[in-house]
Amino acid sequence: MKIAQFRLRQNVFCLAGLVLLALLPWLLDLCGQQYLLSLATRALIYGLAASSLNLILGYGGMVSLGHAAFMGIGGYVVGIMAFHSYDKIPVFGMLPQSTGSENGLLVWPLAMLLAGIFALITGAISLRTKGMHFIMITLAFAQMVYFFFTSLDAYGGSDGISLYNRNTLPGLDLGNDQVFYYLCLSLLLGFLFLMHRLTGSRFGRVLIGSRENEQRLQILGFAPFGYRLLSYCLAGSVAGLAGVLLVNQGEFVSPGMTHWTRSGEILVMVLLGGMGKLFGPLLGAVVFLFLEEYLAMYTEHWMVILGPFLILVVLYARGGLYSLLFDRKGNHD
Amino acid sequence: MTEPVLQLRGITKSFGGLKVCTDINLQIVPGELHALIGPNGAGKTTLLNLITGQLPADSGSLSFNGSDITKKSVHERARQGMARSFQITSLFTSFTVRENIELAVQAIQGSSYRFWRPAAGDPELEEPAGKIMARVGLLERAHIRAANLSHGEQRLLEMGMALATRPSLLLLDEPMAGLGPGSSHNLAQQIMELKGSIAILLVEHDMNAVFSLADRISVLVQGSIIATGRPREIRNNPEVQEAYLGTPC
Ligand SMILES: Nc1ncnc2c1ncn2[C@@H]1O[C@H](COP(=O)(O)OP(=O)(O)OP(=O)(O)O)[C@@H](O)[C@H]1O
Ligand SMILES: [Mg+2]
Repeated sequence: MKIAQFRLRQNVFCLAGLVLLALLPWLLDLCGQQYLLSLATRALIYGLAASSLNLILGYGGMVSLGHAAFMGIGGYVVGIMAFHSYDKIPVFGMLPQSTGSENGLLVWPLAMLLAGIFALITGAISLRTKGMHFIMITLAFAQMVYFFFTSLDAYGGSDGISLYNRNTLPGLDLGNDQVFYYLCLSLLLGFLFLMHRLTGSRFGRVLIGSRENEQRLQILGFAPFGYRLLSYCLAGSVAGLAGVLLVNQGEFVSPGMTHWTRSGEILVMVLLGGMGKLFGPLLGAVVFLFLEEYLAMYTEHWMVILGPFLILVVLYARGGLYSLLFDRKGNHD
Repeated sequence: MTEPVLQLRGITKSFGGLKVCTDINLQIVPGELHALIGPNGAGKTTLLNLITGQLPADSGSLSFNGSDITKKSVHERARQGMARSFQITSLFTSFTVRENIELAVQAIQGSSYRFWRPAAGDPELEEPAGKIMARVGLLERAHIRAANLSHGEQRLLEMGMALATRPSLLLLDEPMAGLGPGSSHNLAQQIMELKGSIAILLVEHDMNAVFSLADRISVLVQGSIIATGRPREIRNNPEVQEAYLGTPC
C-alpha cells in the first residue's frame, strides 16, 4: 500500500512537471518574466545531455568524465558549417559551399553522426578498461578534443565562433525563442520515451545486468562489451544533439564547451537528480542551473554553497533528489 | 565408450609462485554426477574457474562436447552449454527473482539486441521462467528483489539461473554451504532430480550429500587429483583417508 502511494505521488508529480514545462512560455509571458525562458531552455538542453549520460552511467554503470566532448563536437559542426556559409569557403576545400550548411535537416544529423563516430572510436578503446581507468581515459579523450578545438586558429582558436543566426528548419522559426523552447522540449521528451523503451527491452536488461554483475552476465552467455559500446554511441550522439541545441541557442561555440569542468557539471546533474531514474537527470539539470543562476546573483562564490549542498544530496540520497521525493526509504520492495 | 562431455588434459595454474592446479586430468561423461572434494584451499574453485574460462590456464587443454575450448571466452563456453553456480552467491541483486531468471532465459533465445518491445510481460520469457521458478520453489517469491531473499532462497535462485540456460554441463560450487538442514535437503533433492539428464560437477564439503549423490568422486589435494573413482572405492582408498578424510570412515 505504501508502495502504491509513492507510485501515485510520482505519477502526479511527473504529470504536473510536464504540464508546467508545456505551459512555461505562456506562464512566463503572463507574469512578464520572459528573460527566464532562455534559462529554462538551457535547463532542457542540459537535461537532454544529462539524460544521455544517465543511459550509460545510471543504467550501464559506466562513469564517464568526458561527456562534454560529444556536446562540443556537435556544437562545432554547427559552428564550422555556419562559418563557411558566411565566408563562402568550401568546407575543408571539398564540400561545395552555400548549399544547406545552415539547414538543420542536414547539419544536425551530421553533428549527431560525427559525435556518434567519435563515441564509437573512443568507446571501443576506453570500454576495455574499468573503474578509475575508465574515468581517466574518458577524461583524457575529452581533453584531447578540447585542445584540438583550441588549436583551430581558422575557427577562432580559443575564442570560438559566433553565429549570425540559428540554423533553419522547414516550417519552424527557430529565431523565435518560444518556438526554440518547444523544439528542445519535444526532442528531450522524444529521447526520454526512447530511453524508456530501450531500458525496458531485452537489450536494456542486459545493459543493467552488466552494471549489476558482469561475472554473472558472462557466465549466462552474454558478452557485455557490445551492449556497452552501443549504448555509449547512442549516448554520445544524443549529447552531440544537445551540443547542437546549445550552440544554436547561444549562437556561439567555443572550446570552453568541452572543458572537463563541463563534463563534471553534467555528471553532477545526473547524481543530483538521481541516476538510473528516467526523469532524475532532467530534475538535476533544472535544480543545478536554477541554483547556479540565483546563488550567482547573491555571491560570486556560489560554488561554496552549491558544493556542500551537492555533497549532502549525494551522501544522503543515493538515488538523488528523485529518490528523496518518490522512493520509500532504502528503495526496497 | 561414450564421448566425454568435458575433458581436461594436463591443466596447470599458478598464482605467482603458488601452484594451485598441477597437471589436472579429468573426464566427465554424459549424465554422470561427478563430485569434486578436497580440503579448504585445495584449488576446487580455481579449477571451476579454469573450466568456465574465468581464469586462463597456464598450460593444458580442455574440450567440451568434442570441441576444443581452451581458447574460448567465458560467454562462448556458456553458449555451448556450460552453466555454473558460485560459492559466493552471485546474482543481479536489484532485479526481482523473476527478472533474474528471465535474463538467464533470454540468454538462450537468440540475439538480445532487441530494443523496443518490453521484456516485462513477454510470454516467451515469462513461461519458461515460471517453470524454472516452480521447479526450484521460488514461484511465490517471484516479485521479490534478489537482495531481499534469505540466504537459502538466494542459493535456490543461483541454481534456477543455472538451470534456465538449459546446460549440458552444470558446475555447482558448494551449493549447500551455509544452508540449514531443511534447505540443504531440499537442494539435494533438486540435484537428485537432475541426475542422469545432464552432467554435473559438484563441489561440496557435506560428505553425506557427496557420498549419496555422486556417481564418481575426484579428490583434489593441494592442486593435484590424488584419486578418482566410485564412492565405495574413494571411501576405501588409504591414500584419500590419510590425505583428506583424516580418519577411516
Ligand atoms: N586470484 C587468486 N590469486 C591468488 N591466489 C589465489 C587466487 N584465487 C585463489 N587463490 C589461492 O589458491 C588456493 C586455492 O583456492 P581455491 O579457492 O581454489 O580453493 P578451494 O578448494 O575452492 O577452497 P574452499 O574449500 O575454501 O572453497 C588458495 O590458497 C587461495 O588462497
Ligand atoms: Mg572454493
